[in-house]
Amino acid sequence: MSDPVSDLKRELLAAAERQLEHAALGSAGVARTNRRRWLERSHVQGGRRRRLVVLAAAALLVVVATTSAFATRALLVNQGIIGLAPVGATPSTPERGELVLEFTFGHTMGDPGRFRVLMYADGRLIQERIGDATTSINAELVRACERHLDRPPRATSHA
Amino acid sequence: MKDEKQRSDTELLLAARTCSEPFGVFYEWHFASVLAFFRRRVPGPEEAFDLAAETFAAALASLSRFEPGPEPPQAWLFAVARHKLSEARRSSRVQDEARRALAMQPIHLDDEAIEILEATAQTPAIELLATLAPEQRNAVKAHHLEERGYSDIATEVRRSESVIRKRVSRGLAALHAQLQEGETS
Repeated sequence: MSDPVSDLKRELLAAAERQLEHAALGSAGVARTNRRRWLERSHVQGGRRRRLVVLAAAALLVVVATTSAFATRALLVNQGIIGLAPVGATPSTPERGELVLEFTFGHTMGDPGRFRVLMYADGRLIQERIGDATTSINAELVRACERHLDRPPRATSHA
Repeated sequence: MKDEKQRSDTELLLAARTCSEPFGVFYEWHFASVLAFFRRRVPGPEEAFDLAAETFAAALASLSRFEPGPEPPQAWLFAVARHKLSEARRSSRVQDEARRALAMQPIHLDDEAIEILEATAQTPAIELLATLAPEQRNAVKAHHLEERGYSDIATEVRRSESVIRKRVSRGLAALHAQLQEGETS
């Protein structure tokens, strides 16, 4: 027996079920989409952060490279022994010796207290003030100095 | 009684957002009145049934937009029905967008089904008969359902024919008013 009222109710209930399932899937889809968007946003933020780090590193590299370039130039070109040996100073002998230790000390590029120390096998210790002789304020007060580990220090014209 | 019914309708529609069964109950409660609404406005029972089906499909599809308010849910349902009727009149055919959107299968009507629909479309008016005063209810029932003449009825109840005519007329007016109230409330 055909009952259109019951048939329509059955169709409506089936449609209601499908609609509820679709809504549930839609909510899950929205959640997934939100999660994906959050991830995408994180990626964007991560990428932005990474770009900032790269830019900062590049800037630091430029600064370091520039500083190093200036330092290298200052060390190799502009800098040398500051001041002259005093008049009457005895040249260090022998002219050539066995170098056993050499080191340079300084805080910054503009530090007027930088010096280099050369130690030879015979006990000579040559201390040199290094820097830019044209700009160093106390250039006239600084000179090369020779010491012997078993003698008092004296000025020298060490070459 | 009306408030209780209204509250129940609202609860059904709200519950139907998470479960299919409440909408089935809502459909059972209101299908006859919606079908009767269309049946009085379109020429055939098939068009009335299609419009009623489209109305309930559209109501189901827009459940999420239903907001309980001072107006009873029945008013919301009949607003959908009136919209569907105006759409059908404008396009000269019954629309089926809502049923297609919900992937509902078309229901084919044979003669037996049409008889059921015609009887169902009369149900709201028959139910409303119970709300009439007894003398009006008996007069309307005897004249319109049993198809008896005024004089026959008047003889049976020992009243004048004009009294029976007045009872039938007032009973029909009361039914009409209640039907109008149901469709517009």
